[in-house]
Amino acid sequence: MKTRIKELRAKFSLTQEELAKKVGVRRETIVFIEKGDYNCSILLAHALAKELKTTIDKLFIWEE
Amino acid sequence: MGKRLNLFIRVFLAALLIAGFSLFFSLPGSSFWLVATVAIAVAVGLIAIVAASEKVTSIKTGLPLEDELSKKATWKAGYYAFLVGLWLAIVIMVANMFAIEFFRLPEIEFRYAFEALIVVPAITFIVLALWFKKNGKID
Repeated sequence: MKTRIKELRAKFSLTQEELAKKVGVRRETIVFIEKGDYNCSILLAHALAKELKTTIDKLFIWEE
Repeated sequence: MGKRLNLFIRVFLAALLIAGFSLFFSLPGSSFWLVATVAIAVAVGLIAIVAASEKVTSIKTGLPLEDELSKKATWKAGYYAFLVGLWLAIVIMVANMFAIEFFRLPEIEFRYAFEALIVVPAITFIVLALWFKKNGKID
């Protein structure tokens, strides 16, 4: 699954560590989500979308 | 870096397996227990150092030590460690049956089997938990 986290982080001038602190996860988890290696829970997806001022469907791009 | 880590873990596991089997089959009982005890003590010490350094880093950065990914990684490593232990127990049981009945080989003693059934799943759990946490691909 692709994400727009990196793009939106840059828009809000947030580092991976700052975003991780805001949503209460380890920095590595943000790295893995950004790379598409880890599919996070709906709760974390919601927290990320809220911090990046967007919606879950716009933050995560599903690929068949 | 990922490929290097992957290679390192494979080499480490292979070396561990060879060393374990060498100790298991070649050394006399007393030496085996001594070496195994020292190895376990060193492993526990290393784990404690790593855990303490992670805790200090966590306090310094203000980031949590555990999150949903690390918890899932731990559970998955535990599941595989359980399967390894289960299969090892079956292999030891079958090996003992066939070794005595068909090949007239000595039986694997209870103390060796018991230690192997503790040490092998424990090492499997530690290595896999670290691997899943570093890799992130746990789905």
